[in-house]
Amino acid sequence: MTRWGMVIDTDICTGCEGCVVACHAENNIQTVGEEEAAKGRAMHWLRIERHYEGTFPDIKVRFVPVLCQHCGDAPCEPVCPTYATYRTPDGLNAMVYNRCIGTRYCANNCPYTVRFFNWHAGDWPAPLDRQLNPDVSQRPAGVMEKCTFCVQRIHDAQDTAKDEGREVADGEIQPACAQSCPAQAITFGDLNDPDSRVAQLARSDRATRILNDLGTDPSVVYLQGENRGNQGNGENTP
Amino acid sequence: MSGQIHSSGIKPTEQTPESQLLKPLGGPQPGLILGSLVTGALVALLFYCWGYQIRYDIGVTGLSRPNFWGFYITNFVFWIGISHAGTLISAILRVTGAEWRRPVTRCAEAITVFALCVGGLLPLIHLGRPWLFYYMMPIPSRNLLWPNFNSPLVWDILAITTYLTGSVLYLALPLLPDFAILRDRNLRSNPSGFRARLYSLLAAGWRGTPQQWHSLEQGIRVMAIIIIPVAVSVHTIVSWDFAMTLQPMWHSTIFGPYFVVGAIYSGIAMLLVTMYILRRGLGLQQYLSDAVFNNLSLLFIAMALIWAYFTFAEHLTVFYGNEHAEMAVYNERISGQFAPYFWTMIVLNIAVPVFVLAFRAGRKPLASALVGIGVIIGMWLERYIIVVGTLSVPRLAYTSGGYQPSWVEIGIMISLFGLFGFLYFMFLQFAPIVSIWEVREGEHIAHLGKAIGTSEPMLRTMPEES
Amino acid sequence: MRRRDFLKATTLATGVSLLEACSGPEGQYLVQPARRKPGSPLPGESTWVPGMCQQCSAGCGIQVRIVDGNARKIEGNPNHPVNLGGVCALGQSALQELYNPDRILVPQRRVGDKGTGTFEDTTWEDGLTAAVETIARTSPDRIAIIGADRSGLTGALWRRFSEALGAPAPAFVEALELEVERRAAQIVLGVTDIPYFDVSHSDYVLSIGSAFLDRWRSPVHYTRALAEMRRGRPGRRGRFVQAEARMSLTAANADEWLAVRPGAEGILARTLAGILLSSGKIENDNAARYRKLFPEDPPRLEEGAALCAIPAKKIERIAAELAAAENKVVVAGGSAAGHQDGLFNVAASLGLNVLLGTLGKPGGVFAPASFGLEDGIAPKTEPTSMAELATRLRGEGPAPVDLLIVADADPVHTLPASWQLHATMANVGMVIVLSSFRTDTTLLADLVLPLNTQLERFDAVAPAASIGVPVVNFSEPSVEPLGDARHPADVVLAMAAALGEPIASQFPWASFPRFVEARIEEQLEQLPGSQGMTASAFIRLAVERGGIFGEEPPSLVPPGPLDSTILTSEVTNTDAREDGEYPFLLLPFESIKTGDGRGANRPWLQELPDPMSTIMWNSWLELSPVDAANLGIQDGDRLSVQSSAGSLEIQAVIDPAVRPGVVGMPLGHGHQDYGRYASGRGANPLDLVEQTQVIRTAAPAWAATRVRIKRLRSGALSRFGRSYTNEEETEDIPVGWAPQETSRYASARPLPPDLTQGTPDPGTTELPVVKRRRLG
Repeated sequence: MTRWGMVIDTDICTGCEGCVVACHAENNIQTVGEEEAAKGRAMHWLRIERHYEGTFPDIKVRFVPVLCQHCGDAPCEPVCPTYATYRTPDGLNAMVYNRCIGTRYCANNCPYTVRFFNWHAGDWPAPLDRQLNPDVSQRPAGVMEKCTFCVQRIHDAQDTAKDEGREVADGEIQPACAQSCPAQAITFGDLNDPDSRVAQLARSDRATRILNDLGTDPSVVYLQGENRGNQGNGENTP
Repeated sequence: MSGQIHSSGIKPTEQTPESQLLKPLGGPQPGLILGSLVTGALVALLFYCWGYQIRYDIGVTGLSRPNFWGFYITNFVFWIGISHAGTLISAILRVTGAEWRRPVTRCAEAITVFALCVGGLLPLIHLGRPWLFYYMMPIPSRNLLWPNFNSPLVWDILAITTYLTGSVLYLALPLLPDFAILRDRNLRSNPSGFRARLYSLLAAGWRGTPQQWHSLEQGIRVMAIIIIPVAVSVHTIVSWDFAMTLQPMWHSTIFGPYFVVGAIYSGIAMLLVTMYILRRGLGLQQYLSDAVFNNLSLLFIAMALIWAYFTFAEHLTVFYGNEHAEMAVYNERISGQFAPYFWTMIVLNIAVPVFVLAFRAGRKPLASALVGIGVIIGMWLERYIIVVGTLSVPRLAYTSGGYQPSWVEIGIMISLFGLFGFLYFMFLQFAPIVSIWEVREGEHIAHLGKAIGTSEPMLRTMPEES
Repeated sequence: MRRRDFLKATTLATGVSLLEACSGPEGQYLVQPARRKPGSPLPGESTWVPGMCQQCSAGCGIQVRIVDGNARKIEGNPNHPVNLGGVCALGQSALQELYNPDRILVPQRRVGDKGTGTFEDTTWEDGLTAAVETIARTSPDRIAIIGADRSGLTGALWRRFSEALGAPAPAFVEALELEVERRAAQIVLGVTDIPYFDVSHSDYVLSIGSAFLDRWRSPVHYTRALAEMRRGRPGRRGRFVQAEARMSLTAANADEWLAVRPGAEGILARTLAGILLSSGKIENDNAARYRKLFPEDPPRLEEGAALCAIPAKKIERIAAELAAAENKVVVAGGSAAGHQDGLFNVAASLGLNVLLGTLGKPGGVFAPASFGLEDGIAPKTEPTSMAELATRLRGEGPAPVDLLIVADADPVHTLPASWQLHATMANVGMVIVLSSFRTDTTLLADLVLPLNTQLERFDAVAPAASIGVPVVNFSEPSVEPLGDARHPADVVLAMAAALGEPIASQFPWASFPRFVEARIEEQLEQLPGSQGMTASAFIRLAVERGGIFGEEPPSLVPPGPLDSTILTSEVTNTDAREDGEYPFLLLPFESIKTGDGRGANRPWLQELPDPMSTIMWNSWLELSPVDAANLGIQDGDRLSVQSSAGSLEIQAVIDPAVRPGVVGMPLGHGHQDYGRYASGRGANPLDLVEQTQVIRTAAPAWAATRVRIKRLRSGALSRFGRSYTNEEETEDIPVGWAPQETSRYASARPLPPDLTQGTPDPGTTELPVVKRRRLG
């Protein structure tokens, strides 16, 4: 059985946020405006977390792209009263917008804080609405949303493969973030296929997962960077 | 005895303490009308604020990522907690045979029912798409889909509707004899009036026959026993909205009993305040006497100590565990942005009640009511700290954020107090706030006990009607 | 009326009214004609059209997804050598330029006071007539042209146009550091443009000042190059050290950041050279060439270390690592070029390549490559510098400016306010601006001629930043043009035609595509892959591929003897000027969100959190915690910042990576009116930059301004991530720290079996050697 997953190499991610804008463009994510953004309502399904370590001048930065981890044991799923979020057989944590009544319980139980709520409906003053992706629904106010691993692209590839009477090839499906990344830091594919690129990368000894000790079994694997910074071998003493 | 048995025990012209009870029900009272109008205006405010929110989306609140829950859920837990007043007084004290509960049962049960009505509105108010609330209810639908019974919110719906149903029954049953009394009075004084017809309807044919009394007693006894576990389960389930998540300082096994204790505690506080207002406003010193306040205050201080114990246990174990995510929340609570609320809560919920109520003078009506107000505020703060305090400090600290309630949330909160008050004021004008027959029954038992030389209630029959 | 006609009429009327009824709220239903052209896409079907990105001068290749005639998504062209399929944030946002609600779509004529931007619609006919009439009656020496495309075909047409008119050569607005970098490259490497740094094959990259992952040169290309340097060669991970005055995104991604004192980048380079020269690890030829460039003795280690504020031992180690690496390169430019001795800084850094012998070697420096399509269109004279033009505009030049044409540039916003362009341009008799938006420059126009955007035009553009092999991008329109906007080259050709003889005959091309075809025709033999094709067929092929891509990098000829007195450092340290009145050095920088400012009118980019500060919808002033504490400034406070040239108000961000005594501010905000998303937002640091120039150049010393700061009142910024307040995050990382052991992101238990099945494929290029090791 397919298990969709992703490997993100944080050694080559530069934090340029091309993926963030690509995700907005692909998924019709609304721009909330300055006032709402100041309240913490900006909807970046994929975000680049920037972490400082150390003090000037020996200060280091790590960039970690965080998105919905499509957990195998997702804490958001059992708490939704209306089954608006559930695990698909092929490993996606799916979001059913028309079933969501907006209790926001799922967002409270997500330890990664990767769920976003439509506090208001989106507003695309013409002609910006001409850019909207017809394959992705526009969410009304009161509905939760989050990264779907670009499920519309997954379905599109599966449909095409079915029409052509073949299987989906490894690398044929690229979510918008993976496709846009200038560094090709994001790899997507079937984790359960041992020959797929994503499964091979996930076996790296640099591999780790975020908050793994909570038992959420995320489908996103991070490849960690090298120890950056100086060797601390007495160089800074004058 | 033979012949007609009248169900009214007093002649209309007699001046008794009971006439104090019946005064609000005899005709329009300026104080009560004024109270109804003021609280009615607040109910109108509720409609306005909620209507505004539905029209302009839930974004008019101050909620955001990561504070997806805020005032509404705080108030929800608060009101459900308040609703535990009635259960303690009517049910537990009834089952254990504490006679001093008699004057208090009805005003306590009224608090329960109305607090549940108010609290039960809040899960609807906080929804993003409230017109689809029925997705949460286990009714057959065209979607061929039941709600997710794994979700604590669905348990909430089931528990609260059960509790509300039970509490309404438990309030309504003992009202029957009192409605009968009112029916008979009004039939004598103004047989064609509105009240005569209303109470004839409400009394539902109560004649006071021994069979009816027996059924009533049976029913009340059964309800008293059933309602206790239902009440415990309700607030346990409400607490499991938090404990069943894995959020730091929510995911705690202590939450079930902690919240039940807190609920009873806040319920008694609300009861003390309500009783004091009734005592002063309606002149019910005979019924809501100093002794009643004293006994309730003793219960109150006991709950304060139990609540303090649970709070201490919870915080000590978190501190000792030193688990990273929990300590982030803990530090914000003890010494960070939530510290002012937390320490106010400790003072209002522990220090003030224990030091005031330990003394007899502190258990007087006014003093205990003031302590009750403090506890109401303190328990509200407790809910706020739990809800917003954890959500503001997510595990991935990058996404921390603040919460400021908007005018809509504040307006709805204030107007819900108004709704509670409005329901209560309406109730006061249609039913006696002290259960007449229960008090009489109590007097009769005491009188009998004196006559026989014992204080044990031996006979449970109504006094002879004359 | 006959019955048949009556029935037809009623049916038609009913049909139309039914259609109206069926169109639903706000055109919800797409009514399709029953017949469609064969081959045209079905409703809802996607087609992918190749194109080129023109959001910056890097020239990435893209493909656009078109559904129902609307552009929905931009993706990279995986076969394009510049970006290899990647697209940056600015590139993705191009759709919000195309569909921006505040675009100017028809020519505009001024009706209000100059500078208020009060316009009314007019026609191209009237606009061009007015323009041509003004040109005809203006003396040629009083005409000035400002363009944006310095080295491309459109720029060449402008140069030809001004030559034909007899007017002075056009000036070009470009990124502030480019002039200095070009000059340095010319001196040190003998090339006419900025070279290419082959990061992807390098083992050691030392970048001095050049933030090549931010907005410098070709960020997508260099991001991919860095990725390949680090993880593209199994078992071999290159090391990247960034020496920069502030922690840019590039410095944040470096393996090591050398927080060099601002302005002392050249000293660092020279100190390194000194160590290398005395190490005995440098080939004699290279040492000799280097000494010809820099005959002075390099600074002593202790002196150099003190001047550039890097510990001596660290400099020694870097030099040793440089020498020991197999493939290495020193990238130079960026903020190092913005100081008064910017030319020295960049040249000294580039000079290290000469010393280390990286010229033309894998992983080293390569000459910029070009097909030279624009050669011969216009004379090879140097363009006018913007500084010179600014002088003319101020009335200090040989002749005043009576007619100013600004093509696709925004000099008022992207050059220092101390050059007084706003006031002096407003005094010019006739200002014609070719632009799609109400930029600060557009507001000063008398006539606005709208330009089409990258997806609406045919274009042939060579990436301004060379990637080592020659490339020319080709694109055709992928969507129907909105409104009535045109390509700037078409405007030139139209004006030339309208001017009649003798000018018109110098522009015999009917349109820009015809012009390009003629150019291709002339150069067909030199262009790879063109054998046996006609020019138009070859252009067809180029459009389909996304461009013409060369294979061979040109060789880099080591420089001969040069006038090396240019390169002595005259000012060793800009912030050594003890200036009590202006205690802070201001470092403006280009943010990845707005670039030079063009991205500010796009909601996606405004709402995008800046990667380092996480600020949205605003600009900010970053200062160090030390300075903030001394001034009593909290995060978000409103500040007044003043220099000797100007002042502005801005909000503060406390940033632990900022050097005490230095403050940073992003470019790109502070537009007067650039549409609803940009207008009145933030502030422009160029309002503060003094008129100082980089020594021996006409470029502004944009990183040499000093400022003072005053706290006004408290405030809050729209921030997406948490501000820097948590002291836990600044724990010293012990030596030998391995991410898995202490990071809260680390896996505490081994990966579950479904992720560890199978054996690694040794043939896959991206894997390090895998050891199955249990964690935790």
